[in-house]
Amino acid sequence: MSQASPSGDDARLTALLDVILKFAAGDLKARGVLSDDSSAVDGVMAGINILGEELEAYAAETRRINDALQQALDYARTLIESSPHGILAVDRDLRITEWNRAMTQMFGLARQEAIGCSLDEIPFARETGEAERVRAGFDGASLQPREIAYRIPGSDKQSFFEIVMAPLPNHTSGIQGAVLRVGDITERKRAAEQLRLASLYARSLIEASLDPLVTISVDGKIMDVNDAAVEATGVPRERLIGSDFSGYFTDPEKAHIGYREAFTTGGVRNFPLTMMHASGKLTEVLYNASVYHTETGEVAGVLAAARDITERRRAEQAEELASRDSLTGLYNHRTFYALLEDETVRALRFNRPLSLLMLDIDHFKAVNDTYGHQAGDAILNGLSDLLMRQARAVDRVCRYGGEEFTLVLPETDADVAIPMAERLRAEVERHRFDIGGRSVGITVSIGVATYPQQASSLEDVVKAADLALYAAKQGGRNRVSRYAAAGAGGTDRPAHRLSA
Amino acid sequence: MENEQTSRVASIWVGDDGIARIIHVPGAEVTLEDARETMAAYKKLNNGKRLPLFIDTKTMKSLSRDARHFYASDEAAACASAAAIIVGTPVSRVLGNFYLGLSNPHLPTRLFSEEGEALAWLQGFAA
Repeated sequence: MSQASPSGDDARLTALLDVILKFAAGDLKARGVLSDDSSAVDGVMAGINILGEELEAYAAETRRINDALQQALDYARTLIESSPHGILAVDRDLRITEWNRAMTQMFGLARQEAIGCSLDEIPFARETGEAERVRAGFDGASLQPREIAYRIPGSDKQSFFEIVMAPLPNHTSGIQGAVLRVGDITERKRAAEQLRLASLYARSLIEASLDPLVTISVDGKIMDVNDAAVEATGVPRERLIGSDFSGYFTDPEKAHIGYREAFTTGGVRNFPLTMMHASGKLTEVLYNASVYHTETGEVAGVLAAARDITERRRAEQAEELASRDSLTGLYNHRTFYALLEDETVRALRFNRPLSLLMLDIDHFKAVNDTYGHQAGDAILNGLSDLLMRQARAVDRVCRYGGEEFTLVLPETDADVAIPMAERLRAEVERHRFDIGGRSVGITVSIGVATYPQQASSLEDVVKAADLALYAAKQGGRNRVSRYAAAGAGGTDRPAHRLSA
Repeated sequence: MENEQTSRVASIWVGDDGIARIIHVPGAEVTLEDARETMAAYKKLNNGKRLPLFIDTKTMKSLSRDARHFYASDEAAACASAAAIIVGTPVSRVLGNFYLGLSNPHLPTRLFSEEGEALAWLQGFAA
């Protein structure tokens, strides 16, 4: 290796100094050129070059880290700002270090105004005790989410907020501050309140019902009941709920049939069942049920009502009793007129004939006188049975009074009614009534009238039949007389003239 | 020689003492590519064993930063049991010291100016 000359040393020292000065000026790319003389200056220059390389690499790495850090910060900033929830961060001294757009929208305080303030200075945090809570959190207190009510200045309504706090750890596993997520849950609370009121309203309606109401799950278990259900079963609510609904009916299988029908068809109406009270008392009910669905349309269960029809049954029975003749069981005089009115209305509306037979036992007084009134009653009963057997299903057999009977024959004109009457008459004449072991025969007279051909009103047709009956009696009894034919015998007057 | 390899900047061979030698050519300016080539050449000789390395840099002119970090990396350390770096000129001494100081190699490494001392130290790492 050649030895550097003094002038060469000067030049290299100058070059070395030049590189050092460039470094001092911040030029990290400055490098010196090495000679091949193995001199100390070359060694220094090599060292300077290496330092330059390391510094340049360090600076580049620092820039890369800073860029990455900035990118992460921008990313975090975007997330924070796009959050629908308010987000704020504080340091250990409760100084606000973060305050996003949602916080500004909720509380009207701009980010630049909030940053650096103490949490104690923020009215919302101070008045709700949140600042104190955060401070307590730093001291180790449990930090559970909480809901607070707060009236924002300038607002006439109270708002509700949910606050969730999370500690901000530092790189030494300590806590450098906290992040608070503040959600405005006012609408949610109002919706929940409306739901609560709606639920109360629905509950009130359910409880106001006098009918036992239950909701039944898909597997047949009672899910809810009203007070009427408790009263009807005599079983406390807590025992009813969860039990099988069919166990409160005398026929559980039949109850299940009605329940399944509701699932099959969507509802069941007036399904008769008998409820069983814990005391053993039975109550006839009509079971009505509809399926109800979840929000997603799945069948959730059945809403069922059981209507107590005891009173209705009694009323129906009373009505039935009032409509019947107590001796014969036939429709009585009052019911006869009601039935006849219905049939005349129907006949008029559909332009169909209707005939009325009026029947009277011949010489019934003699029967009573000869055999006694009990025998008379037996004759009346026996005749009633006979008439019922002879009548068609659509015919209505009534006891008009005393020994008089009527038969309302719908859809029947005179051409059919007369032979029917004659057949009845003949059957009575042929029949022997057993009166205390004695065989007794009777005959009847029958008057026949047809509506609307022979009478224009209900009253007229009755009068016409009565006149025809009179004519049959006058004609010698044990015969049938038609109203029109009755005229030939002196009573053959048209019904409309009778009604005049 | 069968157990000798060369790269653009060095010749590499393994002695009977089990020590691998990397002798850089005078004025070598070692880049990352050169370092990789030299390491590849060495791997053809070591039969997968971690041999002690005798690295002569006395006449090396420069060692780039990338090359320094490569020689100090886990990848390089995994191929050798120790490294004795022979320095001579001020430049090689500076390169060696910066290599040790800044790059922090992951295997036992020392600078020597005497070859005999270096070989004696490496004997302690020979199999």
